[in-house]
Amino acid sequence: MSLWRYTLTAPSLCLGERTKKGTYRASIECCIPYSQITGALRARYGTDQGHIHAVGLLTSFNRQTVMRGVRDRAAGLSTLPLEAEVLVNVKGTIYVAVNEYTTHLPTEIDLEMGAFRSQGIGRCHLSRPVTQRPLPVTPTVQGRLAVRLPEDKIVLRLFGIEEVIMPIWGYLFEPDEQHVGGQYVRALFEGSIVHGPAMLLGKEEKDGQ
Amino acid sequence: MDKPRTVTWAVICHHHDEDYTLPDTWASEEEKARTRSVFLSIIADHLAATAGRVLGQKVGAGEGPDEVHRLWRPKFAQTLKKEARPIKSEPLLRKALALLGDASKKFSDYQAEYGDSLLVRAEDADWARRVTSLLSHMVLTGQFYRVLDQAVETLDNPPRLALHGVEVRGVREAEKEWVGRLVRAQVYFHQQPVRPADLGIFERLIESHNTMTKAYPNHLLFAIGNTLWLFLPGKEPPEEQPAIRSGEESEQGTGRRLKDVLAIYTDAGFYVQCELRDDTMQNLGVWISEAIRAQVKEIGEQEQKELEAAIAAKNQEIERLGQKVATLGEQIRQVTSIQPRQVLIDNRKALSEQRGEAISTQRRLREQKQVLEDWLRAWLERKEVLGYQANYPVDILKTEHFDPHMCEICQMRPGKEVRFGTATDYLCPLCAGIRQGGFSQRELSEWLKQERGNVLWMKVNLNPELLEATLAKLFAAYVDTLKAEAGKRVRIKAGLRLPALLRDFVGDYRALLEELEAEVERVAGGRKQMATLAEDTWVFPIRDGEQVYGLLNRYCELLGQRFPVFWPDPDMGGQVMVSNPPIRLGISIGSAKYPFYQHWRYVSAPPAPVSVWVVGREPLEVDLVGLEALLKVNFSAKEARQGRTHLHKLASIERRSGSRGLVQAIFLSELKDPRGSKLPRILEEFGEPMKSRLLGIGQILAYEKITTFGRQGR
Repeated sequence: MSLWRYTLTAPSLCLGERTKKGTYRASIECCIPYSQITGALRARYGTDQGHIHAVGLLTSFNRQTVMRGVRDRAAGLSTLPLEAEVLVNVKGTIYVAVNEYTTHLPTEIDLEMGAFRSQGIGRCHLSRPVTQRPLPVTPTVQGRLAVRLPEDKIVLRLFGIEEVIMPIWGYLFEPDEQHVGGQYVRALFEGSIVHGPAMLLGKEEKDGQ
Repeated sequence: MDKPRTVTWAVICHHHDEDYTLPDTWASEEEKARTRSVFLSIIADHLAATAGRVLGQKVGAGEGPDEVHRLWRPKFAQTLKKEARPIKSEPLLRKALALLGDASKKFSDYQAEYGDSLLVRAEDADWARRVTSLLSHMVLTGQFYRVLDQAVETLDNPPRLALHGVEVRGVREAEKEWVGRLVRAQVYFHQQPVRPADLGIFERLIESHNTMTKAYPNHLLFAIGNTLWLFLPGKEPPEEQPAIRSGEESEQGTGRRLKDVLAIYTDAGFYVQCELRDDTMQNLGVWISEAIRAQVKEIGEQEQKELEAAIAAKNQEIERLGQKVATLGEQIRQVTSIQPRQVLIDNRKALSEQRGEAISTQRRLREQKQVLEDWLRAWLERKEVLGYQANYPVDILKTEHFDPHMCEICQMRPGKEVRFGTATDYLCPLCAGIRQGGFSQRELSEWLKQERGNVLWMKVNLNPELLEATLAKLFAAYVDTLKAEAGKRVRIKAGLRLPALLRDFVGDYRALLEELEAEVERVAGGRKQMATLAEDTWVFPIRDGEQVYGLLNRYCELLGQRFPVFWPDPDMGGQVMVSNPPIRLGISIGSAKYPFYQHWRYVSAPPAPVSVWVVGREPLEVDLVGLEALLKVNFSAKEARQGRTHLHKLASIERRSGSRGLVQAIFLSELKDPRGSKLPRILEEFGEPMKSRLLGIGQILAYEKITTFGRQGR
């Protein structure tokens, strides 16, 4: 098993938390969940590319709050203005599982991800050096997961997660094949203790001495 | 002292007897009960000890004082009032012992009378053990004892004691054969409250804590915030065994599962993360957490080297003595019968004595070497006994996927359409129940419904992993100051048991929270002007930044009094012993309508030891030493107007240039040349901290904005 490592840059990004109601929409700040980046890559390369699996980490960003009026297209109405947290000047790292479908993935990828895409937010650029070789997921070490991955054995194996020692669960949205509906699947969230590749694990907080 | 009369008295007299063994037959039922109590109390006493109790690693009582040496407050004893000193006079001591021996009295009576003295008296006057209070030691010993008493069976013919089927006759055997589990559990909720009524989740958590305290008064060693420390004796029973759900139920014959104990929380919808250690009674409590090993890796490697060096030195010494023994044997043979008889006898006797001495020294060294090797092995194998466990509500355990909609509050369960007035939400039954139940602190609900006005959310956080690592490090530093050989120091450090230390620390931390709550009440303008969400979380409507200044000042003061080790130590050349303290303060200020969960996200995981965020502004994130330097200037005072104006100029330069480095350079150049500069005197206070890189201009600007919040234009 191996992974492509892409550098992500985005002028603005809103990875909306799924908290609804109210007039404020926060953005995820810890990582780029599997569902977001995988969905964006599959959308970029066609819905039949169901074998793309990716996950991401955010390395640096600034925060900004923007006001947006969300329009309900079905009803033809604008709802209350929404205050949304947007990450700007975003840099991150994306790991894409290498398999027969992704071996020849381009070195430069432009895609759209997250909320408010129709308003220009979420345009991302992914790049990797032409000379880069796929990174092996071994050796694995014990640590706290820094990304969000569905609790699917195949996905976990692709990303080198050998053992889940203490899970922190949440749910990620998995769209159906037609992209008209979907379901929520149980997932390992950041902070879960696992045996996995160091690149997907966070750093333990230490006393500075 | 008189001969033992009551069971308590017998326990007091015999609880240090490590060779205690059961008799061949029970003389009477009374003796049976008494012997069992003494036996269990010896083990409980060892479990509650700080270091070296089982291993006999004494440094010596020496001339040291009886007062406890608090690792986080080294001058604690000097600050004590006279009446809070340990009892030293004989009549008073006799009175105290008489009360202890009185079977009609409870420990609470004793604590009411002598609590202050017990709190300042060290558990043991030995230099290596005087780091915990006698009070914590006694309370913990009592808890361990009662838990064991509930679980251990007494068997006859011959007399034996059995913990879940493991039968023993002597204390030493029990220490090696009986096992137990120490757990550090952290309780969390998934809910992200959206409306004031959703804050009822805090009240549910408090209810669950209260249920836990009532159901497991002894298994629950202590708790603070969302962290609990638990003791469960014996091996965890297999899944197929029926659960023991009540704290009162007997555990004889089988143990209780951790998940059954924590069902109090999981049944209420919380999830609990546990770090645990399963080990023999002899080693239980020794450096409980994984975090400690990570934190003290360096110390560990150093200790490993020291151990290896000590073993090598012992080997050399053993070899040298071996040669000496051989030489002496040869000399004995060479003493001939030509010499006068008396001389012959004297020479042989002297040489034989020397040889005997050398052999016994060699044997002693071999034993010491064996101990060192055992410790080295234990050090290297320590990882084997640590474990983790996540405990989730049953419905989450069973649900691998579900269809939309998702509950909008907990985001962990399917949500159904629920109407509240004119609004429609998708909520799971649990979150809908919480919302319908409401939040009892009406004042807070009213503030949060206001269109205008700001609210301050404040939380003090204790990181338990960092706490354990900090205590282990402080203990290691303390042991290094003792007059003991390297190998012994290593053994004392490696033998540290944390429960008693943690209990003492938690006591001080709780006192800090109580004092801080009083300050919050003062700053807020009365009890009715504030709401307490948890013992470490408060909310109140805020008027201006001067209130924040008052709070930060008091926090700094209180922390300095109770935990001075987080500040530079003049005795250590101004070095800070603990630069990343386990206690962190998070403050978040925003309009009453600003979503609660955003405040919660910031205050429950503050990025720096002191983190203050006014929504929409740059947060102040600073360490304690930096905060102390900042607090020397009160920007909310009228006299600071000039300084404020100057800072605003710097801020505008930063905005236009986009360079914080440039502003920093301007500030420092103005400091260097006070004659020609326009730098207001008040800002000169920041000269030294900025030169030593303790503070940056960004932190000063953020501090200024926070403390002048709501006062602009005045």
